[in-house]
Amino acid sequence: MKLRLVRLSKKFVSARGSVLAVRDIDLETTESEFFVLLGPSGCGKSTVLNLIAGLEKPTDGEIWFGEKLAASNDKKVFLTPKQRNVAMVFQSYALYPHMSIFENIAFPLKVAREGKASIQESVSRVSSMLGISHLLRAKPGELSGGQRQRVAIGRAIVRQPSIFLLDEPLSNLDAQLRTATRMELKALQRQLEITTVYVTHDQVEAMSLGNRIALLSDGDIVQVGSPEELYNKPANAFVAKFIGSPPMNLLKVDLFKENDSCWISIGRQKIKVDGFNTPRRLAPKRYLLGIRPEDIAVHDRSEQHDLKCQLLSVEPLGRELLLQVGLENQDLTILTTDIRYAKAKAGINLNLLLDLTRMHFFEQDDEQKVVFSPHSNWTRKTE
Amino acid sequence: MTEQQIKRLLIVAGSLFMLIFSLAPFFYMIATSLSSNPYFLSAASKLSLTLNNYHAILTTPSLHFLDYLRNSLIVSAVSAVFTILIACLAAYSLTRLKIPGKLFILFFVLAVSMFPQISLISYLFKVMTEVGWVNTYSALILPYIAWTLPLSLWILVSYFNQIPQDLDKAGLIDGCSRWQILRRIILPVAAPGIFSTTLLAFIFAFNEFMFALMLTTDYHARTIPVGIALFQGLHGQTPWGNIMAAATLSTLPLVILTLIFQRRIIQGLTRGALKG
Repeated sequence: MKLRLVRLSKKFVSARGSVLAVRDIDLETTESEFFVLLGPSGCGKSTVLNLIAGLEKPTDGEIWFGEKLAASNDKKVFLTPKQRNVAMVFQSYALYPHMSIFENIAFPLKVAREGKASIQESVSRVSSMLGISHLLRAKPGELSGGQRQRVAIGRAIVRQPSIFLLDEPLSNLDAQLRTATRMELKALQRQLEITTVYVTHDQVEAMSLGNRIALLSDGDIVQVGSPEELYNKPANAFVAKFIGSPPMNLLKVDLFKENDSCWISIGRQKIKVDGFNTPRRLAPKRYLLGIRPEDIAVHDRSEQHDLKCQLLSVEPLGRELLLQVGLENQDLTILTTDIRYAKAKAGINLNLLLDLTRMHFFEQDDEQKVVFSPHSNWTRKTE
Repeated sequence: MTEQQIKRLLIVAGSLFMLIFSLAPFFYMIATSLSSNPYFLSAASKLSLTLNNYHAILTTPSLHFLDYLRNSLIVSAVSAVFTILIACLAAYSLTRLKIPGKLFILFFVLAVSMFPQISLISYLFKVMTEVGWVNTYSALILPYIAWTLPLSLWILVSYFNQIPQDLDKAGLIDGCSRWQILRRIILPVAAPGIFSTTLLAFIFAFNEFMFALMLTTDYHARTIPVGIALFQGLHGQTPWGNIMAAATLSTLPLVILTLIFQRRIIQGLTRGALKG
């Protein structure tokens, strides 16, 4: 089922004043899409999910489930979660502690007054699919975090929901389990072909799971697109910093033209940025230069395009090294596979070579909109 | 002696003192009820055990002990059950629904419970006389419900608050109405708290003296605390043996109730709803 949000707003009114948690959001998913709502905590992503679920009433705007209007304040329409037939997995799992696992999974069917035999059959189908058949008699309190998580998913998929909602379902799991469950979740969604809205603050999760991602900040959608689009063509500096780990470097640079070629200066240093894929058409002024840590090469030879900087710290990540360097009073993060720097002392001088084909330029104002990004090649650069 | 040993000694001594301090009256009560001479502590008399006192209060019709006990049990049970029914509904709405001025309601309820009993009694007596309820169960049950409700409500509100709201949301998503959520999720999860609050309300009503004294006139509605206080022996002397035997017997229902419910009360049923 397609889900469509039209100019959706939610205002919370309390004694201390009102907060606009969601403002004028427009979204449309495709059929059986895995759609991710991503954003830092407090950006309103969970509120959007609650609005879709029918746990909150929108202040303004409309929610459409396919051709059916699910909520609209103007038209006085509000369908309950039951009428919308949504299923949801909570971050806390929200299992019913007084019921056995079987009863937990069977609960939505029991409420819907399904027959005993069909409940039995549905529960055993779902529990064997999730590998929890041996736990059906236990109480939630006797289960590990990962098992509880499966039960919560089982309870959600045991009936045929029109939309599947997940509110940070993996954030209570430890790192290894999280990666494994992430894969399973993706496979499960493909198998069930139910339109899924997934809320998370973890960009890695969003990138690996989503067909498309909507990045939210402060109740607004900043950008909607495929993971590749968000990574390669960030709409503004916020997206650029949020997507990708370690985050993209943002340097204050001055763009100027000299002798018919294009230069940027960072403090007292300057580099020529002429070439096929360079921001020639930009007006000369101050910008934020965005460059990912993996698009900076570091070496000890001195060449023409080099920037000189000082090593601040080294963080080994196993296969790679994370270098923090100081460049003209600005901090810069570099990801390098050159393990020779693992034992390098802080304070030594390094030469940097920026991959000029991978530069983004952002306005240096409040919105920090992108004014230039490399759109020639779409795939992530491989080392 | 090491510091450890002194500490342990002090803890043991302190516990012993508390134990004796709390249990001495009960011991005295039971001992008196079992002795043929109520003044068994005086030097002149010697201790002899007997069940005569118990036999007397259970078989002497003029003492009406069994009537009082029955009245007490009925009045306390009915008021406790109604109190908890009302308190559960109120606590659920106050913790789960969007009600303006929740805090005001809670504090107002608390303020109402602050009225001293003595300030209400003359009004109550007048009302009950007007409607002709004096010396009936209703005359006690209604004030008891009103009197135990604020405390029960406050206990249950704090208990319901501990139940994660995600459970309600999950219930809504799974297709429950608000009623079904209360009945199938919240009440079972809150069962230990509800049991202990019911017990508390029962004990409150069971112990109440002043309302019972003013609003009842004889064994048709009189409850145990008043009944025992008004026990009269032959020739006007105080029948200590009978009083103590009656007191011992009337603690039994409370002890039994506590023993029955203790496992349910202690059980931490919320365990496992969440991650932790």
